[in-house]
Amino acid sequence: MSKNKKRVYLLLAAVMAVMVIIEVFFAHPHYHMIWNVVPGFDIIIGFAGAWGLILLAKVAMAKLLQRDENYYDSDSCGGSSGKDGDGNA
Amino acid sequence: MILTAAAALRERMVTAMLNNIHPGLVLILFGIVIMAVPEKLRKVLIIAGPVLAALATINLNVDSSMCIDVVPGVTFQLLRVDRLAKIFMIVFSIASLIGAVYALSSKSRWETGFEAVYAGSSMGAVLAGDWISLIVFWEIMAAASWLIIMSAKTEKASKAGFRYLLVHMLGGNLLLAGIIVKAAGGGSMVISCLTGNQDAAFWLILIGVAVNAAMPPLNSWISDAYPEAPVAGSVYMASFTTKVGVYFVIRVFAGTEFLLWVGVFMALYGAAMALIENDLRRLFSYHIVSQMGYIVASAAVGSAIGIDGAAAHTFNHILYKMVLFMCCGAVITATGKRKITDLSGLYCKMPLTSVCFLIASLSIAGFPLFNGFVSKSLIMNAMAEGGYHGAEILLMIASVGTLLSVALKVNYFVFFGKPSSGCVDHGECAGGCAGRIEGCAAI
Repeated sequence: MSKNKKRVYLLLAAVMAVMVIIEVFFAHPHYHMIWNVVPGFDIIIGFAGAWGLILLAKVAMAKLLQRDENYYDSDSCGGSSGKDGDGNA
Repeated sequence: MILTAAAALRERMVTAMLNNIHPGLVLILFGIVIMAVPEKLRKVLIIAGPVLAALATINLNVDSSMCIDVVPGVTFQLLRVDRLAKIFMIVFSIASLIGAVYALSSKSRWETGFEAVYAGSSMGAVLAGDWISLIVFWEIMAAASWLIIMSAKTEKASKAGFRYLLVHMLGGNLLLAGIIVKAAGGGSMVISCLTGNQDAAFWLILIGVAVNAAMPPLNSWISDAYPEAPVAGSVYMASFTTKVGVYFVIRVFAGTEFLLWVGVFMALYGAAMALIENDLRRLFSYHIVSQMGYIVASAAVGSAIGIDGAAAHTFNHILYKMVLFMCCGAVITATGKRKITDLSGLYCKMPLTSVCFLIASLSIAGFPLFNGFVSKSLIMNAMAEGGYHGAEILLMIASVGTLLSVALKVNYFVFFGKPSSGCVDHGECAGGCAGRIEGCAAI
């Protein structure tokens, strides 16, 4: 890992650490649902929700809604340019 | 002292002149001229048009208006400024100026000309005070954006452009039908909030606006056409069409409660589709749908903080989305590849583009200290304040989906991961310069 990349990761980790400290010790929640008042609860929701979203996307949406990457290139759809949008063969 | 007085007089004259200029019409005029002049002059005009439009925007006063009498008794209000229009005009001016800098690398007179016309007509739609002026600018915008896609001159772009045109003509005609129904019923031609009407005009205008705002199931054009547009054209297109759509959601349909759940669905749908997408620009097209979802949901709450959140998020979204599309353009121009699986470890040879992309991706993901964090927080507050706690949680999950698909997936696989075939020298390309400017703006 290059020096700059390490710096970027360290900077992001530092910002997140500061945010956790601010949330736990200094934040005054304006609303009173459990994820507003219990520090870190929204992290649990986010983590579980992200897994749910990935499962939804991969299991259901990919099969139901996603077309093949070359859908409009196939002969059955009348297109066979063999080029992508930027003119690359 | 004389010099000071002369400078003050000149400033007053410039202000007086600019006060009477319609920024959108200026850009449309420049766009037409750009198509007709030789290359060297064209490059000057590509920048001069947005600069003049930006100066005219700065001089627009809230509550000012401009009317023209078409025939005796029929008056079009081409310009009506309020605070919502002003904030959209400011960000449109920034977008057209930075987009113009990026488009300087384009050789096509048609593309650059249509881009200026497109930006100008978007401004015209935002400033329109009556429905007839709106439909005129709306249709110019649809035609100009279609011609931008066509100027890529590939078979795929031509077909995607045709599909784009069909969808947008349908949207425009539904909007026109709604306006006609409204006029036939004796309704006012001044653009005003339709929330609570629920008549035929309401539904027709809503569907017309929904096409531009990419509301499902009318959103497929965005992921179909945007990846096929020219590199600079896609930067423009990511900044205007959907934003004009959400502007009218805020202006005309704020407080329409069922749109809140449409917005939440958009946010989740866009984020989930982006997770499984492999084409860079298509991935960001899905993210436009997702981010428009936040704005629609926030506008649908209808409270002051909801409207503020929607306007602020539109402003921020244009800035970081431009950077994302510019960086994609830089990558595509440098490598000739657009699929995430074909790219890896570009940080070692495109460090500035990578850093700009990182900044924009953290902004769209709502990372603390970046602009997306501010406006997403406003939207979350609007949901909590309105008592829509389910929507608040779902939007939070959509935001994590955005973090996964942009800030983690693209940054890792395209820029910061290990290069699959050593550090191939792609070089920074023309897009880098404007990308850097926008990166600063995104912060």
